[in-house]
Amino acid sequence: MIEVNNVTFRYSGEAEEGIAPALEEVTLRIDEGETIALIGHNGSGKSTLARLLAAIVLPQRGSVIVDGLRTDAGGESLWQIRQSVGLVFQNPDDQLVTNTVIDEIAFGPENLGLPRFEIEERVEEMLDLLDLRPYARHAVSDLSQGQKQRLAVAGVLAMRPRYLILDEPTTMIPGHTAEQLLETVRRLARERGISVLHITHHMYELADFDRVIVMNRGRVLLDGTPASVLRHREELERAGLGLPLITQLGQRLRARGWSQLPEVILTLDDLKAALCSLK
Amino acid sequence: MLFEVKDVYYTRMRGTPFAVEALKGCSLTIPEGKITAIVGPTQAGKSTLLLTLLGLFRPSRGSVLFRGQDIHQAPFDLEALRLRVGIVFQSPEAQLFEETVGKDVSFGPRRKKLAPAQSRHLVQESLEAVGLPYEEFRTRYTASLSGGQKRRVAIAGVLALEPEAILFDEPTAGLDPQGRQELLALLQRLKTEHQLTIVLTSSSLADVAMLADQVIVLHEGRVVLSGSPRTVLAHAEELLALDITLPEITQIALGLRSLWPALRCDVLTLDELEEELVRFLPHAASQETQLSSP
Repeated sequence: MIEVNNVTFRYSGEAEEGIAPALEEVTLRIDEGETIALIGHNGSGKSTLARLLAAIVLPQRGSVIVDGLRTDAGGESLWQIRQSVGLVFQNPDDQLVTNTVIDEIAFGPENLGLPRFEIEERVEEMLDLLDLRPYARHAVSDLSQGQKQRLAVAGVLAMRPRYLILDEPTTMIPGHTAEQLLETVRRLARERGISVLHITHHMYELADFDRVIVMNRGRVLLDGTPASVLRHREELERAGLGLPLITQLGQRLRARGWSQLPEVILTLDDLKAALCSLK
Repeated sequence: MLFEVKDVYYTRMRGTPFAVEALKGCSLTIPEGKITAIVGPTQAGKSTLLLTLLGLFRPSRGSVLFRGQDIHQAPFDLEALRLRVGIVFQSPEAQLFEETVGKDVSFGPRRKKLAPAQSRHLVQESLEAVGLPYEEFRTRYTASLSGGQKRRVAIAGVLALEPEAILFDEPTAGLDPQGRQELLALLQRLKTEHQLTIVLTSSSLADVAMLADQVIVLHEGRVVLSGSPRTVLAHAEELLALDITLPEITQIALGLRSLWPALRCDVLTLDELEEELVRFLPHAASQETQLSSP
């Protein structure tokens, strides 16, 4: 479990310039095996929250506690936290460090000092899990953006984190590739009990997550299931987020008299089922 | 026609074990003053096509005409073509090399040996055109700008050469939704306010459906579909099979076709989809009561 207790964080120099803190009095809890989509406008504090969870930055007020360890305790616990919280950056080029696909996946386990057979086993596992086997011996620089993003995820997962944080992994890759990546990650969460925190700008990606957290101006605006969050149309719009088009379509039809349609339709399958019941 | 591409073949890394036939009998036309979107999955030949238009790649077969003249036949002046047609490469923010915004944008005019006053005027106009106020940005360090701002500076640098047309390779790649919208609006303004011909490539129809006058779908080095966005979207199923990202609206329409096979999927807006869908729905029970009550 990760606990974020009343955290305030300000980047250095921002106080003098009168800029509001990047995060202000944020409290939330992430349970094991939960899949969470974290959504918000530019500057809402999403990425700052991700960095706090991974102990890359430390809170100035409040605390972040990962499986009982405070991120600001320093020393040995910092290593443990960094190992259990894996972070995948928006641009995979920012975190890929080696020449070949195999080396990249092995990089984390090697640095954990694992025995050779264990490293090889994890590399093999990740090649299959993220569909990278055909490129195993390819140079990282020859991969497409989508393949690089999968490789970045593989490299992080090879360290067996308990929490996986994805900072807008779908900005750099085309739509269907992004969907496949998210599906893989959610499957992992189900099968291995890894918690996933997926940071995104795209409202249409929310539907398949257990929980949605909406950030606005450094604070948590909404927190709940996708359907419960999407009931707050006006608050979302004030935060610069429109409802997914499929939800809007359902609401327009309701307003035109098909009032038996549910108030919040999340997916195409939901819409089809609801329309079928009208027939 | 600004450009005509006639049955062009081109092999990248010819003569090496890595040789790839990037264009295989590609034919198309680029009209003047319009926005043409070249859409296709990765490896379709989109970037190769742009470089071929500028004569940076020479076709192994076929020809490229600029205003009716073959660009690889004497006395055609390729240098002059490259001054008239600008190109903005993928992730152009990576190609800024001067210290300040003003210096970077003025590189082209200075190379053309324009008088300082004229050069200054061009830099000012170009920066304003991309939405970066001149006085505020000219002395800013390029390193201090956001990714989206850097991309605009690179575009301003091309505008300062006063081209008639600009080719953009994946201009929206890697931008967040807001940056994407701003960039697409900029392309629209360059067409309407500056009368530029715009050619852009994308792997997604979502970006260009509301913007392009003409869409050309490229697959494995050949044109497989072309026409207005609406004409092209009518073939949504084929586009999906080609790994091309469709607009959200089209995806919904396409999904609903399993219930109503006659539902049109060449809808561009939520309004259009709503009206199309309503034609298929049974009358709502509460609709009559609504109509009869005041």
